[in-house]
Amino acid sequence: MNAPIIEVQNLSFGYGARPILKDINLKVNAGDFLGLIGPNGSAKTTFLKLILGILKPWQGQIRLFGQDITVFKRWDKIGYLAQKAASVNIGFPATVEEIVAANLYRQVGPFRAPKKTHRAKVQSALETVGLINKRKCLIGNLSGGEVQKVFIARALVNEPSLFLLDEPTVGVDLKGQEGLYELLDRLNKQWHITVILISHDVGVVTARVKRLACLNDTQIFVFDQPFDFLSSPDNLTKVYGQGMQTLIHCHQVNCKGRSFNA
Amino acid sequence: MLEIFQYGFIRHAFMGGLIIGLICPLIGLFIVLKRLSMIGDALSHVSLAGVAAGMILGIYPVYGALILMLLAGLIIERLRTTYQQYAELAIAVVLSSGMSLAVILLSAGRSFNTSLFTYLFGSILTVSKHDLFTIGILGVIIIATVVFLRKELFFVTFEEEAARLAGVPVTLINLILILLTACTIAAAIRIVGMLLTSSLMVIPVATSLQLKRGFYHTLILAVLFSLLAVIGGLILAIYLNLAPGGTIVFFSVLILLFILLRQVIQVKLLGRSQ
Repeated sequence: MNAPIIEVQNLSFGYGARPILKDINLKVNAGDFLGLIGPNGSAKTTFLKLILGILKPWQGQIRLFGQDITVFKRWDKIGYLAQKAASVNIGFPATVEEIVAANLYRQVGPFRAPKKTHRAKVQSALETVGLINKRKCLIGNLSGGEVQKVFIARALVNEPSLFLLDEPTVGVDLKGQEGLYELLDRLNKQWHITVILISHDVGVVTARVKRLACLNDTQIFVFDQPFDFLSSPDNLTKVYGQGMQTLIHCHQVNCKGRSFNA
Repeated sequence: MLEIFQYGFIRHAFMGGLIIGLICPLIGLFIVLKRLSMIGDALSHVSLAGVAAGMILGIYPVYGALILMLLAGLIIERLRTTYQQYAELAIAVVLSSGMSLAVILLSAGRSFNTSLFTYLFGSILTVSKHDLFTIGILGVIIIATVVFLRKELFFVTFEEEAARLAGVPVTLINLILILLTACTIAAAIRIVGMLLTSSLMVIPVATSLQLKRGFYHTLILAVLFSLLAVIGGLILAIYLNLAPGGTIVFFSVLILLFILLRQVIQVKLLGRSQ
């Protein structure tokens, strides 16, 4: 159960000559729910793209499911929800079903038409996110929260073991956000999908995840107990600097309130 | 009305027209959705230079156009990665280069200016068996490629990054799409002319997008609208003695206007009933 799904060792990366990640080490085990936070420009998205093999590291090693990323082939085991997924061209004439089915490309194979089993997988992914009744709808006729769910269903259609989400709550209202976090919780606890979630919402993420990793100034800080992060002003300063003190304080109050109620 | 089909040139015209009517919106939908509508125009301008070069060198002008457009397609794809944020710049650069080359070649070979009109405005009623054969071969290549690669083309058109992660060879598919666009224009310049080819790629697609259907429905509707325009336009042109290329494209504009008007009336009626 606790075999490492992602192992990052001494990873360095940068754009041009400027390094933005230096000597990063991180281990993510099966069943983890890791929140990845950090200020703007702290390379959160870049870090995910390195794990996805979209970017090539300067130095260091990434192992996925025990295999070096350079020889890793089972990309269908990884679901990814990109940050810009919500801003995709919604005028595109495609139904919910067509978009979700497209991601089965590896399973269906080139030059082949999807079979019954593939269509069943699309149905099941849409049931999971609660969009089965809208499967024939055009993406342009859905709300922002529903569009986000379509992309989650698209990621889930391959039944991934690891799900990476980059700022999934951007442009989604509070009710939608609550639904999204509940869904992620369900995927993690019932389906045992390992989740890595990038977010700006430090307070909410801290309350939801099992572990927290903070990126800032080329470094990563990992907290096995997310509340440890918020409870120490030193941690906050280390990750966000002095400028975030007020905002963090506000979240601290919320978090304390939450634990008090519990 | 069927008596017109006893003439061989009319049969050729319809056969050529229907193939073009089928392939133009087939490729057109993908380039419109990739926001590359102008690529048809850019390649058409290049095709003029290719036709002129073909005439100077004494080879079949459509082949000249095809070779030069395939080359231009490769250049556009290369430039599109260089100017990632300004993909349309690649198209503008190729359009200008093609047109300037065409002007130079045209001034170098003044004597063929009249036959050049055949390619500028199309001449569907003088389509020869050789033309029809070339159009047919290109048509089969285009239709077969789109049918076989429909999943890949759909995904790459919808979202390149996600397609790449799903294992689709995005760079190759983009390249194939541009080369198919070049083939489509090469097939169509003899029929509707280089000035109007891109219209037949874009207008039926604009019409079917108005009906807001799923992807494959939209594709089929675009093809149907285009075929309707070819048949309607060609019959009108023959009976009223009008330029066929222009009449076909104008007919497709009329279909678009009809659909737009229908949408407006529908919205108004819906508003009133609520």
